[in-house]
Amino acid sequence: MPLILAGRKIERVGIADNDRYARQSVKSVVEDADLTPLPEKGPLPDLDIFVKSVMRLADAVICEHRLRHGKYARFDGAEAVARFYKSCFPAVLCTAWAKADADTIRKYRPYIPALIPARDADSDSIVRGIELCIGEFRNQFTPGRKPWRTLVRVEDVDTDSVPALFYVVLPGWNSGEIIRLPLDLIPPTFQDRIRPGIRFHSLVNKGAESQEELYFDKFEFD
Amino acid sequence: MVIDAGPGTALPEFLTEEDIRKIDVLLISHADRDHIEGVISLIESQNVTIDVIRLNTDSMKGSKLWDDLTYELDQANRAGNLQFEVGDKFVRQFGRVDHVPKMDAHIPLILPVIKEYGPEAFSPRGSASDTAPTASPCSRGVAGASTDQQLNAKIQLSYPLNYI
Repeated sequence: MPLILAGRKIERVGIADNDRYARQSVKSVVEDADLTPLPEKGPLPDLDIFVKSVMRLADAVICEHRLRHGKYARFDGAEAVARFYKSCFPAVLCTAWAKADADTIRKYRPYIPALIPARDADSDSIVRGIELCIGEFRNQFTPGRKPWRTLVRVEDVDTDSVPALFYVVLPGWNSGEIIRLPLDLIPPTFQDRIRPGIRFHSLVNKGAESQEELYFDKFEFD
Repeated sequence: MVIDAGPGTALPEFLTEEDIRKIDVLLISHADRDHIEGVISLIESQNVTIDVIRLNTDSMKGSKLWDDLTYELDQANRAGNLQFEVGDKFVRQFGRVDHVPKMDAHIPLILPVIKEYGPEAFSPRGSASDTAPTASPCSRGVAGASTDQQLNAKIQLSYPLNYI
């Protein structure tokens, strides 16, 4: 039975997860929400083909982040969710790797309205996640996701690590908390300007309650 | 008039919801983190213009956070979103203001709202410190305050103001 969320019909939900047991678990959650699950067995060698296929067959999609394990896919779930978002197709990232893979997910976070820890996945959280996506497509952001022009102060840079990292403070969010970011978050033309003490502006959802939820988009340097 | 600003986005959210695009005067009582983080948040958003900003300087002025604030003030000034006199010129013209004579001012309060702190928090008892709640006035719960919750309070201002 289809759900009508913000005027949009949601009936079939694609599922991408490299672990077949986890895929089965998400399938049950989707059924609990009275929706029709469309689990993808893989392998998924091409992101573009996967996205087009899901958009043709389903009304929304749920992705795990670590899809490369077992050669299930040649892309990460966060990248896939971001691609769906940019096509205004509701996509939820549901993963147990949210904290462990925070650095790789961060780059795509502006386009991931709903990141649900695997242990919290249930019919309500999935439906809520789809609703959040549809809301953002209409420029309706929750306070924790609304973008604000924000001052960023660089505290330290670690180019020896792989990937290279830098550490920042957002004085207008919480001046007492240091945030670790991957250097490739910054456009390549500006990366050599990242050094301790410099300041720049970025669009940040500074209504976020924890640093894991923060995203950074559109960078302004003097 | 805005007196200090708590942390986060509550104040800019509130101003946006109320379609307040201009602040006549922004007073910062002191440079503690919980008073100026929100000022930085307000200025960096570029959603409002501020005619006059007055800062009461103190020992925190040497902190990185203070540097962040002056950086934002400079940026806002260059962008034309803020008019303020910097240091010497203003001081030479008017002299250092160590004390503002006591004055009565009738100021309608629009934030925080009554439900958050109760009417007794705003009873007109004299000094600014009596009327201003010590907790952040900009908690998330007050961001959508409606105008019918406005409270008028008569307060007295009697603390020294310096100017940057």
